[in-house]
Formats: sequence, structure tokens, C-alpha cells
Amino acid sequence: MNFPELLSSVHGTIATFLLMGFTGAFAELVEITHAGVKRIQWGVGVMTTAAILLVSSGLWAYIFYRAPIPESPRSILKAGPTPWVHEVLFELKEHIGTYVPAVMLVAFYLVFVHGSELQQNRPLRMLAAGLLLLALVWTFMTFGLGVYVTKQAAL
Amino acid sequence: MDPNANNELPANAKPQGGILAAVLGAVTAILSIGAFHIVAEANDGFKNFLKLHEGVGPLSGKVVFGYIAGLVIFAIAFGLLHKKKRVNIVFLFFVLLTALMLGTLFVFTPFVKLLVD
Repeated sequence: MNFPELLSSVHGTIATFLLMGFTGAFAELVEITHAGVKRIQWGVGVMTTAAILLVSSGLWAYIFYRAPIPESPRSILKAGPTPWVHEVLFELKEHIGTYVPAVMLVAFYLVFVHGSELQQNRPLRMLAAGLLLLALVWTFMTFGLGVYVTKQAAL
Repeated sequence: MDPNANNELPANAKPQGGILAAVLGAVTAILSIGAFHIVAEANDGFKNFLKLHEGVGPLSGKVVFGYIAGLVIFAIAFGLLHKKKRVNIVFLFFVLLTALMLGTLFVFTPFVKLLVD
């Protein structure tokens, strides 16, 4: 396995940490338990960190994806029978993935600044849950597009 | 009695204006990245300006400047709004959802080509 392949694998693995953080936090936001606020803060902290690392590792891997050589995935896709896989799908993926940290930073602010109120304030918990769902949906879209593009032209 | 039953805030509630500021910051970051993409597709000079890192290309500038814009708006909005007692939670969620959908549209190549061509 070369470095770009390793980086691509790490990039995909970080997404599982985001998912793990989501499951812990979301369950507590919907039906809070005694240990709830701490779990919510841990989960959101893990998700926010994972989102930032996903964008960072993604930008790093992007260097190899778009390298100006005939063997790079972008060059292969643009020269092949399906250039739209890069021009539409990958262009979409590379941009919408960068939105996820913005959503998570709002959730991070909410659960840490208003953490002491989450037990009693259901509307705030529902907003936090909604933010985590938005982050998850946009992460899934990014991930799905990435999986498809990788199938067409692996890094 | 549930303090939320009559739409009242709990006794230990902090002002919620900071949440509004955070949402405004996030919306700014998302829409800026999308807007930068459209302008870059229309203008090669701007596209080159966004190449903060040659390997990453214009995406480097879109992300960096987009998040800087978001942080600036968050800081300004926080200064102005942090004492606001309560905000409309549902409205904030839909504002962010709308920004995400618009941001996605702004980077969808067929839509961008319609605008630019």
C-alpha cells in the first residue's frame, strides 16, 4: 500500500469515528439519561474533531487525486468515457464535505456553552439532534460520492 | 411542572444569542465556499487567487477564506447578539438547512454552468 492509498484509507476510517460519536450523542439527545450531558459532549466533541480531520485529510488526499500526471484519478476520469464522474460527482463531493465542520461547530458551541441546560431544555436538545442529523446526512452524501468515484478511479 | 410547557426558559437558562451568532457564522462559511466556487468558475483570475496551495488548487482558498469569513461574522454577531435572551430554535435549524441546500446547489456543476455560460 502506497502513501496515497494509506491516506485514503485513513480518510475513510475517520468517518467511522464521526459515526460512532453520532450514535452516542444522538441517543442521549433524543432520550436523555442521568449521564446524558457528558455523553452528548463527548459524542459532539468526537464528531467535531472527526469532521475537521476528515476535511484536512481529504484536502491532503486531494493533492494526489488531482496531480497533473496522466495516472492521477482525475486525469484518468477526465480522459475516459465518463468525465462527468469528476466534473459533477467529485466536484460535488469535494465541496459539500467541507460544510460539515461548520454545522458541527454550531453543535459544539450549543452543547458546551448550554450543556447545563440540556437536561431541562428539550428544544435545545432537539436543535442539537437536528444539527447532528444534518452533519450525518452531508457526511453520508460525501462518503457515498467518494465510494463511487473510487470505484471508477482509485487513488 | 415542565418549564417548557408554557414556552418558558428554565431558571438556569443562559442567553441564546450566541447560538444565533454561531448559526450565522456557519451559514456564512457554507455560502461563501459555494459563492467562491461559482465566481472561480466564471473568472480565471479569481480562480488563481484562490490557489493558496498549488497541489490542492482553488479548493484551498475556498475553504480557508470561507471559514475565515464565517469566523468573522460569528465574532461580529456574537458581540452584537450574545445577550439576546432567546432565539427561535426551529427557525435557526431551517436557516442552516437552507444554507446547506443552497451551498450544495452552488457547487453542482450543471447548475454552475447554467449561471456561468
